[in-house]
Amino acid sequence: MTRYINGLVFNSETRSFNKQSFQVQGKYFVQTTITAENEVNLDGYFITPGLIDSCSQIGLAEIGIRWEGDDSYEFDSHLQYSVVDGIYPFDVAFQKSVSHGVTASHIVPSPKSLIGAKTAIIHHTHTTVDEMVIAKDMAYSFSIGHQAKSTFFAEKKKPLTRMGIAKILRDTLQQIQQQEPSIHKIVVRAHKAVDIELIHRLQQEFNNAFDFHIIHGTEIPLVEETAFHTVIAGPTFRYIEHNEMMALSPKLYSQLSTLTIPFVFCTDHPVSSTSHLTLEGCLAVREGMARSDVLYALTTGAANFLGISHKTGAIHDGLYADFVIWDKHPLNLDAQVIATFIKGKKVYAMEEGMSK
Amino acid sequence: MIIYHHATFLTVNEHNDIFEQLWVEDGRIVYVGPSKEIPPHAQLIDLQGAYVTPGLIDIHAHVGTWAEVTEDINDANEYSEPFTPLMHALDSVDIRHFSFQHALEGGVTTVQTGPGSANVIGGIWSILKTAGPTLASRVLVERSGLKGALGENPKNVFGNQYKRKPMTRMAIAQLLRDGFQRASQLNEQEQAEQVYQNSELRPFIEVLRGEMPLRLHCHRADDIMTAIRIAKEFNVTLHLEHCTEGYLIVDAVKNSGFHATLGPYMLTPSKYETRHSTPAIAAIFKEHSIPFAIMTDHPFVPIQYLKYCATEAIRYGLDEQTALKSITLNAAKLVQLDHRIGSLEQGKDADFVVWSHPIFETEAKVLQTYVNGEKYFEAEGAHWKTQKLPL
Repeated sequence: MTRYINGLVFNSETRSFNKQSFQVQGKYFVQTTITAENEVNLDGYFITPGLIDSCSQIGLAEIGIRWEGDDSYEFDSHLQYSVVDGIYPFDVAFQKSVSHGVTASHIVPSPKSLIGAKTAIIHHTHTTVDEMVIAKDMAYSFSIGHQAKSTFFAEKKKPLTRMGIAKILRDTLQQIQQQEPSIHKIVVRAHKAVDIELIHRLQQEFNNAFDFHIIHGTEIPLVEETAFHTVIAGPTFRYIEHNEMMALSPKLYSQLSTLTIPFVFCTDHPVSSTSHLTLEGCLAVREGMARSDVLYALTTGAANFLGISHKTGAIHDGLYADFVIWDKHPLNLDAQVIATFIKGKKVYAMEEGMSK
Repeated sequence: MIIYHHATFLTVNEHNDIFEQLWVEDGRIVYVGPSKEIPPHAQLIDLQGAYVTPGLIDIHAHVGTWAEVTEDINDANEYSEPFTPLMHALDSVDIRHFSFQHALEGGVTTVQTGPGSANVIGGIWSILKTAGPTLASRVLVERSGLKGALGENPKNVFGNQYKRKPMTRMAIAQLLRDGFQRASQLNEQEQAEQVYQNSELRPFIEVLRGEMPLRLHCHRADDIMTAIRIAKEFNVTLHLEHCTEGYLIVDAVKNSGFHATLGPYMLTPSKYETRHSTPAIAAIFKEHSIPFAIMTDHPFVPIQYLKYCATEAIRYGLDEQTALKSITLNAAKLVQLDHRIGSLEQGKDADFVVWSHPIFETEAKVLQTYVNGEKYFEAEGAHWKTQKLPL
């Protein structure tokens, strides 16, 4: 058992940093009064739970390579597709990720996939995907609007309309009810208000049998309806790829706050980079969010949304010891990670890393 | 005359002086320094405790020519041939394009823009202010370099997709040499004739005469060295664009005497050639005294995030002063415009940015951006407020 003392530890209940100690035994945070075998003094450092990326393609779309490493998109859909079967544990992006404090991601297929796959939440370490999985079959992923239309046109040389997309979604939702009755969450990539409104209609048509969560949500501020399940907002640090994203800006975060729509952050790696998750948070701070709220959304808030808060997402007894030691407040733009731990094991330390 | 006061003016001059007043007349800075007595005719503007930096400069971007990363509206890569020396940035730039507005929102007041990297010889770049009523009024340098590219991009577009030359790095090098070989065989009168006719040899003659540099896109270490080798063969000035693996051959880069624009290292490596990309390159180049600027390569990293590219270099070990200079004064020096832009100094253009907080702080937001003394951007609800997360 190791006791970490004197660090400024992020408390998910108060959303503040307090000087306190915590203990790790094996893979878990533990509550104990027994004398620790090791004591690590973290005086002067900030400690947060491992950050969680709420939408990423890490491992599914390998970096530093083109089609050979890209398993994020299949044109012909099938309800049995699961991201778990596409994840490459040796994608170097995982190393980069832990060196920036990100310890887990919700894996969602490419925006090109109208009907994507069953999503999963994975840890950013281990050599086999089976060890990495924290939760699988978390949701089905859809992607509507421009991306789905242009992908269809590229494949079929004929257009797919929004009416056609709606029909495909309705059919698929019925199939999910029959074939995968245990899955109730649908995550939907959408930018335009009209597409977001379709999702609201489907939510009602299916009598709330599904919880729909919008990913990106660029034009949510234009939608009249404000009753949303948690939105996976952004990423905003990315190029504007098509007309549906013209309104994309970090202002989205303050707009969602004003509308009291709950949201979590993502990078959609490799669209932005897994290493820029804190940057999304920093941009939200720039737009007026409190640092404490942003840190909560990057950790405990994301874990609650993803349904894994009984396993990780806070520095709390009984949870996996996923935590990060920072040299300064993690939402300083130049904050560096001193060390990252997943399930109690050090998976990154600065001196071994890419930084000086 | 307009006098800006009640702000912290970070001059980014050689001594990194910080002053209290900035006086602007006819689009130029006429005084920056300690508070002094205000002349009776001057208009006084209270900046309410804000922080002011020089306008930011990105000397490698495709602003106005290639806004979205989609080929339908790409006016940066002329795919018809791998050798297109007559392409000119000014024929592509759309001054009404939203990327100029984004530049101003991010405090960027000067960009070097032009052809992309699909072609071995892509065309001529230009340097522009990001605001002004007409294209002509924005131009700082009409012909600021001949852009070319080595490695994966020309190989992929021509060899791989179009099944034509160049398929290899050997052919790329041959195509790069070709224009210079033909141009250098001409006598002075023949060269003058080619320039007059605006023939395809004109840009090569201008580079041979030292009127503008050769700007070569190179990521992989061997491509960087090929670029240097060819530049030395023809005794021309080379500017290394990207220079991604430059830190692996840092002594060779330093010995070449050439300079570099680094980035876009914030982008996820999307291809084999950029897999070794790291923001640490900036600190390493600083350590070896190799002059450099930092790029967004807009649209790949959007132009409004230039500041964040510099911040990422700080996170990877670069000092704050050099980071700021790499997007202001040092960028201006690398394009020989430091007599006009890059710092808040008497006689320079009044290009400046008003920030809510010190530039590298998380909370720092651009409140106003000025180009040639005119305010072209002002944030809505310039007052900073905290909001609650509904989660």
